[in-house]
Amino acid sequence: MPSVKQKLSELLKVDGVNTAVVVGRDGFVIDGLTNGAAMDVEAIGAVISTGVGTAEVMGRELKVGAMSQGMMEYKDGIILMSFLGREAILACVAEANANLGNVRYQIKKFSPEIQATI
Amino acid sequence: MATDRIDTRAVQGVLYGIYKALHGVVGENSAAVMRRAAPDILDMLGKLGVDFSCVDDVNKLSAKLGETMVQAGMCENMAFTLNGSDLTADITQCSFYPLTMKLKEEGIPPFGCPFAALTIAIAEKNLGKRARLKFLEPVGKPGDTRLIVELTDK
Repeated sequence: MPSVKQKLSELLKVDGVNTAVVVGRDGFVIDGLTNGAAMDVEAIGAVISTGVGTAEVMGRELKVGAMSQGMMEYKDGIILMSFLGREAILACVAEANANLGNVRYQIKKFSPEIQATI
Repeated sequence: MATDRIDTRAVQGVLYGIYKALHGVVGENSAAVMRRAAPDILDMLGKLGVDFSCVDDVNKLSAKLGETMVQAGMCENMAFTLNGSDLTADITQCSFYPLTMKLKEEGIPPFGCPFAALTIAIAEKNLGKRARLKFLEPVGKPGDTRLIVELTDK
């Protein structure tokens, strides 16, 4: 069975994706890979988990149902987040000019495969 | 200053408001905030004279943290056992039990448990391990709690 790292490594081969991290809801970083960028693992775990948590609460308060995927656009990149079951989150950073449709599709495709390796 | 005669009811009142608000904003992922806060709690305790820097193995962690928590009036006893990679702490008569139960009634899990936060922070900082909370539930008599932290190599 492939490891989380192997699956993340495949995800990093998607055009435009430069970081992929799997985080528990408690902020514990299960695994993460980047294309060379430095990563403060503990800080990333906390911000991804709390960011998704807040987005989830926002959806609940605004009565739009359960969250399936989240996306935030910044000047220099895009952050996409997806749930891996009830207990973990997959977060990816893509370049600002990445093909967003493809990145979203790939995350959706990879999510069950990564979830199976946790 | 009256720092030596603080009433735990006041602390529990403050914590209740903070924990409830935090859970209202961050939801089920509130534990990530506590995980992030724990190293700073440890630093602040160090500045206040509660130093954990001598802790470099699980036995010292057990002795020092258990002794500190009891002296601080946080509980009557905190006993650790290490079984493989699982570090279990049995907390007797936790001073924050009423707060935990009140939050639980409102559907808020005990994500802010200081015993768990400090155990994880010390294990990660001083023992060089990765630490993750696996279990935290009341067990036995009212006021008694068990927590299990999984320790893995970095």
